[in-house]
Amino acid sequence: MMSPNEQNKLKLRQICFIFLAFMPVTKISLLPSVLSGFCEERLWVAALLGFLLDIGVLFIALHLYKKHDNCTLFYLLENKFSKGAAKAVYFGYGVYFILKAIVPILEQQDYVHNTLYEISPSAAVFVPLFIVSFYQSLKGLKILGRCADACIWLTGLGLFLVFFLAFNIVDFTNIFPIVQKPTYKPVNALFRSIIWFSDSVYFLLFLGHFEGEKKQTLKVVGSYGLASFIVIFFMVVFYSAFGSIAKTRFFATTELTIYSLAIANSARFDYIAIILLMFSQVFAIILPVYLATKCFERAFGLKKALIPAIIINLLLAVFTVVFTEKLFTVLSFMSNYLSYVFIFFGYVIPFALLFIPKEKKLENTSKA
Amino acid sequence: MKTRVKHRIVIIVALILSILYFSNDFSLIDIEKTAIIVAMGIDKADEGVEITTQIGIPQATDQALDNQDTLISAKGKTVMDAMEILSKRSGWIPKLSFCNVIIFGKELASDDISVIVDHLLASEHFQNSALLAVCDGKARDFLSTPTPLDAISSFAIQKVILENGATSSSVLDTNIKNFCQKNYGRDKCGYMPYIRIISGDAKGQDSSSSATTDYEIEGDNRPIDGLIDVLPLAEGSSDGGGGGGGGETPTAIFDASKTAVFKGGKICDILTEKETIAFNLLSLPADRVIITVQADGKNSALEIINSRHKVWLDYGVKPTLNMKLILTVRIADGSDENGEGNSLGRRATVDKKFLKSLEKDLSDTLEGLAKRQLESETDLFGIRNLTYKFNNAKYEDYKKIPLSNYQVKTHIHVSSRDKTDENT
Repeated sequence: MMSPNEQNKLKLRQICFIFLAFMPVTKISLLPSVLSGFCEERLWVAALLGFLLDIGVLFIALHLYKKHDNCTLFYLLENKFSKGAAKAVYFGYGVYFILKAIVPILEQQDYVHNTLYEISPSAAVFVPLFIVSFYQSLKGLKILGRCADACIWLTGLGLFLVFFLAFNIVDFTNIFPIVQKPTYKPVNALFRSIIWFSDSVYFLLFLGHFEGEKKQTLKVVGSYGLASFIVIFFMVVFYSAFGSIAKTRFFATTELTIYSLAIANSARFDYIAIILLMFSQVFAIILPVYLATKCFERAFGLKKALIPAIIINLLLAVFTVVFTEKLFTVLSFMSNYLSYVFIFFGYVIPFALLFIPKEKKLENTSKA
Repeated sequence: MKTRVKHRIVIIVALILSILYFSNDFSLIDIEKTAIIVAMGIDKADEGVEITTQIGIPQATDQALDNQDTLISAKGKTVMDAMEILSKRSGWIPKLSFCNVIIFGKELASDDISVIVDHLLASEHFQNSALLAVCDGKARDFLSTPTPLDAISSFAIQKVILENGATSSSVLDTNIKNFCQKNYGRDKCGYMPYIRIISGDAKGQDSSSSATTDYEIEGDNRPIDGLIDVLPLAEGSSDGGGGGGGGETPTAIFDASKTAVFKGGKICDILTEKETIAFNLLSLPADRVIITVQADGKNSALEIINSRHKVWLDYGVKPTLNMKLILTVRIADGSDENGEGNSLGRRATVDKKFLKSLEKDLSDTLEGLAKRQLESETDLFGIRNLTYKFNNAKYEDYKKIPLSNYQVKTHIHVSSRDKTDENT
């Protein structure tokens, strides 16, 4: 019997690590200031609502796993509806993942330019990211697991350092009052920032690509819950530190650490944390690009991911060069016009999948 | 065959990536042309502002500490406009990441600094942890004043301001972030250390407690008229930790024990030394703050070793601002004016009369300060913010109450450090 590694499958531990290593790092840069711009001290409420929805999707996916014997989403759709329908859904998800990757990529680019460079560098400096992304897109799923295995430590250490250095400037009363009315502000904030959420939809694509384990619901939901808690705690720390000016502090991790007395008295060793988190962010922003490639590979019935990988990475590279320093224009466009698209693919389709009846006999498959 | 092709592709890609990586200069600027700005002074000019930047020039380790730092100033419509002119004329690229102190001239601060501070906050060039201060005069003069405390005057100012950033002290320090947080918050009020120059002797025997607002600038470093002036400080060296230099020994010592209060971006009040310490105790935990109290004609310097503080509002019959301070003190110096000291020194418990005296002193100071601020509708104590946080349901109603309608109550309790503590 082949091991999950030989079958190019993920281990459940690796899925948990994907959530823990990659989910927080994409949400601690720009998202805190965007949320505080919409709902001030209740930014954590907006994030909590988003993560509750995400965990709901995760429960749906785990339910599908049990109900349909760990078959892939494509196989399920193909069997229940038709191959065309399955391809259409995968095509939709391919587009969705590309859209989902755009803001984090531009965010990362802006962050790198602002943090590591004294004066704005050429846009081409960021292009090598897409060479890494292209290489990763050609590989099987286990590359994600291995990246997560490595990055979990970097993310953990980076976040620990950030929290440690930020500790002396936080005033937790800044997030008071905890309970207040009206509630539409956090809901609106979530709607406008929905592009950062719904990471749990990745798990739908992992169905059929991992071996089940005992207490897997607890492990998967627990890891996503822990990652969500870290992000919410980060937001609380962020707002506690900046209060009324939080909405103007765009790169939260760098902003939080510079006020430490340890930094003032020695040197900018907070860059260790920044670099560690940036390294994890590279793989975190590649994740949706990778999944988009796999979706298009299935949607067009291709044997290899080479062509979609070239096209997607080339498109994104060109887009990134063209829209360098235009992060907020893109963000504004997406939150104004594309929020419904994100809700549809992130929450509506997973919810609709609940209503697919159980097949009497469904062949298990693990083919990507 | 396929494997060999794959390997070749991998090597080629790796080479391309290496070329991209190693041919990149990471946009580093020429160090020969880079001016590392360690402090900046901003003054009001006829049209716009005048900035004075103090540049830190690295010195060889085998040489005595010469006063090689240079001041460059330029005028412009805005701070960045002036900076651009400065850059153009001097040929130096200003690097502001190490600018740790920004000093505003009093004239500018009396006008309005909101726009400038807003720029400092938004600019990617400045560190938001840079200390802010306002000086009693022109910032340019302060930065050009040699001091025996450090070769670079701004470093001396920085030391004076940042006595201890984490705990209470005799200076109410602030940085760009903290100032903006209050100024753009519901309080719409902020504060900065108010720096003065004290003319003492070369040994620095003058103490800040006897400081006056009158100051004297030694030497003639005043710039010539023009858009941009380079102001090399007087040549010379000093031994040891002395700095400044010049033909004569620099005598200026900086004092930051007073605090300038801002409302709407303008100075509206100056807190005295006592008020600064008392207000600081309400904001931060105290550690080694020394206050001299008088009782029965005797002086005793008490060291605050522990403190708890709380500020809260009471919307009962009349809106009330409550301030609570619980302090633990010990004797720092029990000598009286005749030099007769307490033989037990720091181990002795503090006499109750001194404790009561300190309680009364702090209570009177805080009450007087609070009443003065409230009467001028200055929300230094953060009443609006406290109302929003802890009386949110009625915030809209309560925020309409004029600050002058608030009562002030102080709850000060000072106790001596227990004798038994000494054994631990």
